[in-house]
Amino acid sequence: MNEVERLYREFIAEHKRGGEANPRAFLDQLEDDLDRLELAALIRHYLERAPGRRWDPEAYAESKAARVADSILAEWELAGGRAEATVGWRELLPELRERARIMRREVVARLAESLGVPDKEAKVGAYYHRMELEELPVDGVSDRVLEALARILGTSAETLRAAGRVRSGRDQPGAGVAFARKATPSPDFSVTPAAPSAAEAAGRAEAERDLVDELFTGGPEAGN
Amino acid sequence: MLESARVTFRERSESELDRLGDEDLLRYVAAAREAGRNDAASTALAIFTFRRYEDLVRYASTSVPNEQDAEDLVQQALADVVRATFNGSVPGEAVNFVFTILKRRIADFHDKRNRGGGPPIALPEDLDDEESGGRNLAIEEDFSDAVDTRDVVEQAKAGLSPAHQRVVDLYLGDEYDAPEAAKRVNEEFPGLKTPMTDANVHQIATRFRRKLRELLEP
Repeated sequence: MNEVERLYREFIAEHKRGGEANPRAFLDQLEDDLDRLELAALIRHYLERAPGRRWDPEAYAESKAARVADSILAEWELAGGRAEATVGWRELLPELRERARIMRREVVARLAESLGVPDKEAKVGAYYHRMELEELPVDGVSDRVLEALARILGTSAETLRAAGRVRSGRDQPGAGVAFARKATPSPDFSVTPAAPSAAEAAGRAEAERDLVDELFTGGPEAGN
Repeated sequence: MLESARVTFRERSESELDRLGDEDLLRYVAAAREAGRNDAASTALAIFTFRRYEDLVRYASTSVPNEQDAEDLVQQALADVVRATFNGSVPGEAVNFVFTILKRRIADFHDKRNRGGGPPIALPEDLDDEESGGRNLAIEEDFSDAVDTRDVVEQAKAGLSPAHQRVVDLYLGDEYDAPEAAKRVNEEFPGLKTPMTDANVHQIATRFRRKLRELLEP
């Protein structure tokens, strides 16, 4: 039994005994980088499948878990009971795929078929990929896309739209791009003029827009 | 909705709640809250949090530089999952979803640091022994890799036959020794051409670990 395996088994034994089982203490015993990566990967794999602690009210009262639960409870109070979506596309879409046991390429193929553009699978795939990365503004995505995707993934279009709004306007690099061709700039916002080359590129892109672009960036009613 | 929840909600004892799976426990939290029974909701939330918190922190601590960061990320992930439950968007097995969210939070943590959006990670030589917890530079450098290689064990197992995958699960995952792992696999796979032996178990485990290390090699 080599050092990685020995430490891994010691970690599991300590964990099952209810000991501290701090992975750092085990990882720190290894000098070699690859050994540490291996041990860390094995420990993470084990922890993902561990059954969790049995309920112990006394231990709970003294635990950090209690502080975390209290914090969540306090947040409910502050939110006044509103149930806000906080899980975005980045987490939800891969999870739904995994639940439905569908590979991404299968989702894309079915989505393209469902949208009536089976010959544009690559383009649909590129847009879907941007959705999973939350790089596509949710307000640009049509109901038709969300409804088709919801059917494939076994959820509702409303849930998908709510999840898409979680980081809308904050971490979405592409936000605003989809509506540039329709929106009237507000004097309240300072708009940086586009460079001529960018404008030309936008003009070309506009000319090349097709139904797929419209469905993914044209807004909720697009394609109806 | 609220009225129907009030009608259908049935309060359960702590021992009943402890026997529920994660998904049912979270559904109970949502139902209790919707029925205006925050006391019942908080009990179920306490059981769920207590059940998962420490393992989630352990998991995160293999991927971020210090314990406090690990705890903060776990708190965010748990809060996200509970809110998602209220929103009706927790798919599949809740525990998997918690880990999925946690992995994402860990990846975000590293992205933010890489973009300069957070304080630089202190190098071990900048920390005294107590602060560093005995860490060394090589481990600090491993963190981003650790995030990227999260599913690597499954990848390494994917090339094995079902019987051999079971050997890996029993021998490396469930901590059985080689004779016991071989015995169980022979019971579970009676159609094997040649029965599994102790030597086979060691051989399969070695092959699996070689594959794992190949995948982990930077």
